[in-house]
Amino acid sequence: MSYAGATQMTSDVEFQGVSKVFGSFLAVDDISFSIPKGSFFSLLGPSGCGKTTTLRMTSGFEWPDRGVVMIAGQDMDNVPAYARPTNMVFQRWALFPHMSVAQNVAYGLEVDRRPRAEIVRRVGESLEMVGLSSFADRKPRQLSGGQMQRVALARALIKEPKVLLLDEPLGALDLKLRMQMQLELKRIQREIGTTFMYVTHDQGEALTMSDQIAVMNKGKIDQIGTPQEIYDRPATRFVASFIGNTNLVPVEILANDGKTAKVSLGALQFETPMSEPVTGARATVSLRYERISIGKKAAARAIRARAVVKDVIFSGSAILYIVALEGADTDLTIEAGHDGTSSPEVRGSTVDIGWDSEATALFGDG
Amino acid sequence: MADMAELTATRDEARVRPLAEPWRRRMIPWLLLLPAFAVMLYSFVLPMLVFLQYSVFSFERGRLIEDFTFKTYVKFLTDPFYHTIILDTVKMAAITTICSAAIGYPLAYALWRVNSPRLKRWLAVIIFSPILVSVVVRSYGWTVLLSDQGPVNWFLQSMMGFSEPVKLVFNLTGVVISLTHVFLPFVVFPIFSTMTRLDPTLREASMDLGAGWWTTFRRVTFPQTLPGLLAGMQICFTLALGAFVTPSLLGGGRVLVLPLQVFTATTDINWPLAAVGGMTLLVLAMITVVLSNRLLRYSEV
Repeated sequence: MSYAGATQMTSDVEFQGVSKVFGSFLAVDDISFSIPKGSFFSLLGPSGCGKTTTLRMTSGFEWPDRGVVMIAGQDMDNVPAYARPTNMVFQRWALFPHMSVAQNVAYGLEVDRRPRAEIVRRVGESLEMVGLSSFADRKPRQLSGGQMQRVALARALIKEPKVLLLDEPLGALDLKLRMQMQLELKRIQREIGTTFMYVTHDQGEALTMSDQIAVMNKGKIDQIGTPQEIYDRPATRFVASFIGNTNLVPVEILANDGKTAKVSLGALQFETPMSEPVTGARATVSLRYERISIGKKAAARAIRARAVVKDVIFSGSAILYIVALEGADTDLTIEAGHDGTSSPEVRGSTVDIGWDSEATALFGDG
Repeated sequence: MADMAELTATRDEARVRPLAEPWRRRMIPWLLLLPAFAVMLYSFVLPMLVFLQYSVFSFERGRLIEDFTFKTYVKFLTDPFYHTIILDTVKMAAITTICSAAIGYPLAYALWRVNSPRLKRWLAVIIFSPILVSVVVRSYGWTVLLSDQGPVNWFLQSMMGFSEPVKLVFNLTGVVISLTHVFLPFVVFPIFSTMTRLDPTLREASMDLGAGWWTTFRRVTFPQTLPGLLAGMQICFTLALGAFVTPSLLGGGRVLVLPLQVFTATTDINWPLAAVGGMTLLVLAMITVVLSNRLLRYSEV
């Protein structure tokens, strides 16, 4: 904050009441948010939720039908894509197939008519940053997916954009490479300090990399927060079910003081904090798989119950149990960590399970 | 270690051999090729061989002599009269190709960028229409349009201030105009098909990197449609080399090209001269194909 006007410059991207319609389909419905300078911001949601449209309105490929898009404190109304201080990494990278790696990366600078010497130097630096110096003369078709991804990143970053836009750039990579690229993207973002606006439908990706996540659903933003806030305190039933694995259990409300509610699940009665105001007698409790304890560990939990193990699924680092709660017509899924020595519960046996009241969240059935 | 050596040894021997494809299945592509081969053999290879044979005969005092001589070839390649014919043929084909490409490329671009599918269909029909009209009808149509009293000259004289009618027909101009008209679809459709295969996000990527419309076209769209343009130009050039009816109807006897020379030679029953003219056409067409294939390979990614 060493420069004048710092207060209005702290957000690099700002949406104010933006809507976008395609024909009669409301793709983006009155969304507002602001992305702090230098942060990693993710738009997370299922396909068709409006996240890509939001990104394309930032890049200038789509125009909002209502509302204001500001980038670096300036209204982007009537500013075409090529004049915006943003650059994009495309879903399938969109490398120019007839140009070499170096020509692809140099393109943005050549278009700006930078001096030749500067272009050569900066292309060299860029390729070094993504570790592709020895591939400068290759054509895109001679590269692997991960390498193409890095070229696309270098090409977009060489123009030193205020905001880097990434449209599911890791979607076409295999799982191992995706994990590796996630860490690398985060490293590069930290090094250069550019604001990243990242679109993904992969909650793991968003949780790993983001400083802030906006969860989108049906054109609206359901919740904006840090990964931990969104994971631990989902604001809506959609956020709870979309991020992480959770049991959504229908319950009856017995008492309700606006902050916590006493609910009954069959014979079991317990208290749960409320995420949103709930009216009516019926509601849904969200209970994450890994927040339920099973066996001996259940004794330390505030809310305890008995359940019959219906199925045991071994998945390496964890064991999944599907249990039927006694005294209620409800199945719960439980994820218990596996450290290599634990011996799983046996199918058909009756076990103790338990959870703490803050592990749950209550949503209305509306 | 011994186990390892044994293991690699058995690997190298490849105990499993690839199973040969059943011969019935291997025959299918050849069976499908058979009709095309038969037609080609009967209607192209055999006549070509006959042509080759006739081209080494000689023709003296109105009589065909069945000997073996390169006399006709020597005459054809040394006589300035035939040089002019060859050059005029290449010139006509080249100008036609350049005009078709110059008109066809923007047309293909427009066809590609038009959003309404209805308009697109109608545009395609209009571009395709010259092929649907008989060459004789089309040629007489152009004769009327381009004549000294025709609507084009009326426009040039009354609107553009030309004092005398511009000679548009019965010369090279008329031939080129009519050939360009009919060959346009052969140029437009290959270009259009390369355009439809372009990744639309490439244009967005270019604009995102700061390029305007023109730079994007020049540096991203155009280089990638080059194979289509070259293919279209090759088709146009080889078709124009062999054009006969249009130059004879619209050339007014002033556009003497190889196909016309071949025809004249056959009416004189000078078979060797006709055969040599035909061989020259074939060689020109082959040079075109080889050259454009070279360029095509160079232009492809």
